[in-house]
Amino acid sequence: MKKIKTNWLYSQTVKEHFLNPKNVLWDETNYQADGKGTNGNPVCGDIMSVWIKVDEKTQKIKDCKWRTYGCASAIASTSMMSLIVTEKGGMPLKKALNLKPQEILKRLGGLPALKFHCSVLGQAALKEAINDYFKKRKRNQKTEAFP
Amino acid sequence: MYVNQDYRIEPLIVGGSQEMGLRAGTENTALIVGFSEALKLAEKLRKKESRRWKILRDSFIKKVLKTIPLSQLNGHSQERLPNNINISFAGIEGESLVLKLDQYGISVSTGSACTSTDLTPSHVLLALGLPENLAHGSLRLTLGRKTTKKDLDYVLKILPQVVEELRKMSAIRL
Repeated sequence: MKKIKTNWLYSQTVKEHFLNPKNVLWDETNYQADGKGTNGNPVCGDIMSVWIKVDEKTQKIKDCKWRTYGCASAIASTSMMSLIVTEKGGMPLKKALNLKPQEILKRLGGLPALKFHCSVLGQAALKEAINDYFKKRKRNQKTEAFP
Repeated sequence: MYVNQDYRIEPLIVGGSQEMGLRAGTENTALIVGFSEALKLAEKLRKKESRRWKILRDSFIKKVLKTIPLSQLNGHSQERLPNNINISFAGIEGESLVLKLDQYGISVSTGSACTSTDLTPSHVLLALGLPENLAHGSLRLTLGRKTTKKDLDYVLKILPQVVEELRKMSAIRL
């Protein structure tokens, strides 16, 4: 591979996460997710899908996988988000529901002003995945109570 | 440009009265001769280079469309600039494609103008009737004097890998 030095508009962290994204769900065939959420819009050019596994007892996120259609910062921000919610033994669901896009931005070392909206989407998809998990759990509890 | 003789417009360069007082200074004769010589050379090369590009362009387009599924050429196959290639790939976004290719030393561009002040896809591609998804996933390659078949063969080796990787990572499943 030719080594070419180029100037990047993005931070080094963004570049790293874009080139080596963490927690991508390359194939979901054998992935048993507790919740799934998708957010975005093909018109603006960004769509994120997020899959989560939840620890029933602690109500913390055990695993967070994702796939993103979008630009480099969209890919990097979803990757960073998946790290944030799974590090330190996993983020409690209630806290994850309130995850602020600014938090992802800060960890990425910032984004060009125009790209702010990209990191908001990953967090919105996560929110949908968590709500999906709550819905499923409610349904399961009902079937348990009335077999 | 037409200037009404009743008006006096400000000179471009102030000083002597050359060019009816609009541009002061003696013409750079050596530069004029040089420029004329450069034009002659360019004109001589134009047809030859155009022919060379056309062959490279058409062979490249044919190979990309054949090897990469769900790809399509934007614009007419023949009624286009001899050095212009514009192809859309479903399911991926142009900016990430450009930046990935950049890592391999391939300098290309996208219709989505993602790093400029406008994040919307190319209005030209939209006017051509492309859906947003394909307009966002457009790749533009332009050939230059120094572009060789070897360069394009290198792109043909890298491009399918990068497109596949981004598609596997994409939230849009095709």
